Amino acid sequence: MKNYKNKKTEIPEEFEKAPEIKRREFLIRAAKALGCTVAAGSLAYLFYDPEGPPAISKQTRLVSLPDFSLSHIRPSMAIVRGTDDRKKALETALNALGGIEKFIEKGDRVLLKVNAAFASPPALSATTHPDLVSATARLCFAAGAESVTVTDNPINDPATCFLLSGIEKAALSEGAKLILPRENLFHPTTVKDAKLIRQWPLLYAPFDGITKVIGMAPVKDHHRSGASMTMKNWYGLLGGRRNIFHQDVHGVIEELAVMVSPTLVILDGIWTMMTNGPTGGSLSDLKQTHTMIVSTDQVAADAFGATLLEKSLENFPHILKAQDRGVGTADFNSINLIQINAG
Amino acid sequence: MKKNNFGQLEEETNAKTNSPGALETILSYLILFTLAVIAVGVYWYHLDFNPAVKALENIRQTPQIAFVLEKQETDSPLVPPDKFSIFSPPETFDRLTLSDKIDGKAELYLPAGFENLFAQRLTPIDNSDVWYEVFIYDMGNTLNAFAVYSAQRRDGSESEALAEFAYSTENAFFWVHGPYYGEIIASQVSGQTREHLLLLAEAFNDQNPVSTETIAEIDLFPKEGLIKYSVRFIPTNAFGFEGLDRIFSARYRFENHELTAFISRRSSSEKASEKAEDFVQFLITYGGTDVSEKMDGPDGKMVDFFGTFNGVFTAGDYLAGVYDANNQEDANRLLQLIYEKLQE
Repeated sequence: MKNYKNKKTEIPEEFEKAPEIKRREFLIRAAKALGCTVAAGSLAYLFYDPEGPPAISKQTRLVSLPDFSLSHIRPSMAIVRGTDDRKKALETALNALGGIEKFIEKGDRVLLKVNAAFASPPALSATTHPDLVSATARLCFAAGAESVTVTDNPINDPATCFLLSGIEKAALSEGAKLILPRENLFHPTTVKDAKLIRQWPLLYAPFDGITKVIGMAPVKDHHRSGASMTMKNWYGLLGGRRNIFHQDVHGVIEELAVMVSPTLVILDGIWTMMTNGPTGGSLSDLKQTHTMIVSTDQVAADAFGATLLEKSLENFPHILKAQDRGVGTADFNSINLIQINAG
Repeated sequence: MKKNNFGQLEEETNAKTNSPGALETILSYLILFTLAVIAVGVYWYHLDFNPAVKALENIRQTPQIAFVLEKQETDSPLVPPDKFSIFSPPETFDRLTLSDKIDGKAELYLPAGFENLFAQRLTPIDNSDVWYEVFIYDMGNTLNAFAVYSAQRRDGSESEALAEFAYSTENAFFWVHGPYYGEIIASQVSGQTREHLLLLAEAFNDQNPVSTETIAEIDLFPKEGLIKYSVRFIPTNAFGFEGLDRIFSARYRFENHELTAFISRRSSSEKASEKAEDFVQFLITYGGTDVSEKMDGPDGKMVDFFGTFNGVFTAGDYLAGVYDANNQEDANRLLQLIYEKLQE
């Protein structure tokens, strides 16, 4: 091979005829190509998951929710009647129970489990009313809560549900966090002595670091279970094809009540959906019942809610089943019951 | 700039040295082709992007302003009338997914022959603060549509002239149109709500012509004591008895007592008799007492079921009776009225 370095003015004849690549340049190019290939391969390897996302049924790490109830407080329930102002009714009920500070302490991280099941407007009372969400979040922060998180796994598209129900705006306006369900937020759970909720996906991640849980539900008729109140509201923590449980809806509500031990439940009976639940649709499905219930006992709250639906407990086997499991008592007169007329 | 002949020569030299060979050219084109295929693939995939998310983004970006499409993206049974635009994309649900839309209420529709549901929110062009959600349930036939319509009939609501079975409430419109059961629900009530509800329902009916079907059994119920709009069609599991299907029922009020009449046409008089006997046995099995000696009028059987009187008889292919009467006098009175009506 000729040394062209010293030939500064001549055009090598070889280039004119046959522009061949030189070995040195070939090696440089090959090295670059190899470098690119290795870099791309390494990057791909970095992202490569040889197992892929595990099926929920194959996951072995079962989770369960801690007990968020306050054992040092005797079971109590406040019923406020005679007002349609949810904020006022809530504050009155909580004050009757000793104030929000009795339940929420400084530094608490509170989770509000709302009912955002449907993408319907607040006026239809098919979902937790946004005024109640904002009032509760505000009270929690006022009591010193470090954070307030609002979540649910709705039946309809989650983003649309939170948006159109007004819950998103209510939560965010008070500085609460909104967690919409995503697949990676679910972990399998098995409820103690359960026949139905076994290795079933639970919306678990929003509970991470949570110290207090408040369930918030409207009083509604339900075509299958007879009623949708605070215990049925936990249905929104399940994932998967949970509608299969409708075949034994009272059984699954009983297990849900065992699964979650909340700090408080708030049952909104300002308006009650008397018929055509759980979706309703017509304002004529609703009855103004002017009542707000705040309780440490979810069974007692639902038992009282049954009276707003003008039905007896025999119509709601899940309430009696939950009582039999020791979740609470359907005899709400037997607990610390405070009734206030705020009218 | 000083002209450097040497440099020019060297650049040309390098250019020639770097000129790609045929193999390099082919490989380059292959790579470019592959990248183009990937780009087309990505584009194609995102053509099918979840429309609900797109619509939601529009709603978020323009609060209180409706999501407007030039035209429907799917084969919709309802093209919005002129005064309306689309608020959210259309949704459809089948038997497997119905509960994703209406949860536990699916159990009402599925046994009644539900086939599919179309749902969409529309908004008036001049008031995007309000939206109307239209639900169109395809129930397969008029009788099935009447079943779900009548099961949810709101007490005290006014009938509408749009269809034989139609009524409205303060914020909603409900009607049967051929095999379709429709609901339109307003997000809030305004002065224009009723006008808008009617416009949308009429638009659907106009766009979906059907042959008119009547339900003859409704006229078989005697008028005396009949509570207005109380006639129902129960496709399965009537009165808690799994074997009692295809039943028409109606509520009656005599003085201050309410009771239920029922009529069902079976395939033959023998089948009607068998079904009547099955129902009587069902009541007796669950604690009822045969008190047929107290039944006057039509030839049949009466069961005292924990203080309520239930009478059953047959007339040709018809099975008929009274359910849940507080006293035997009312039960017998209604049984006689039904019997006479069936003889007409």
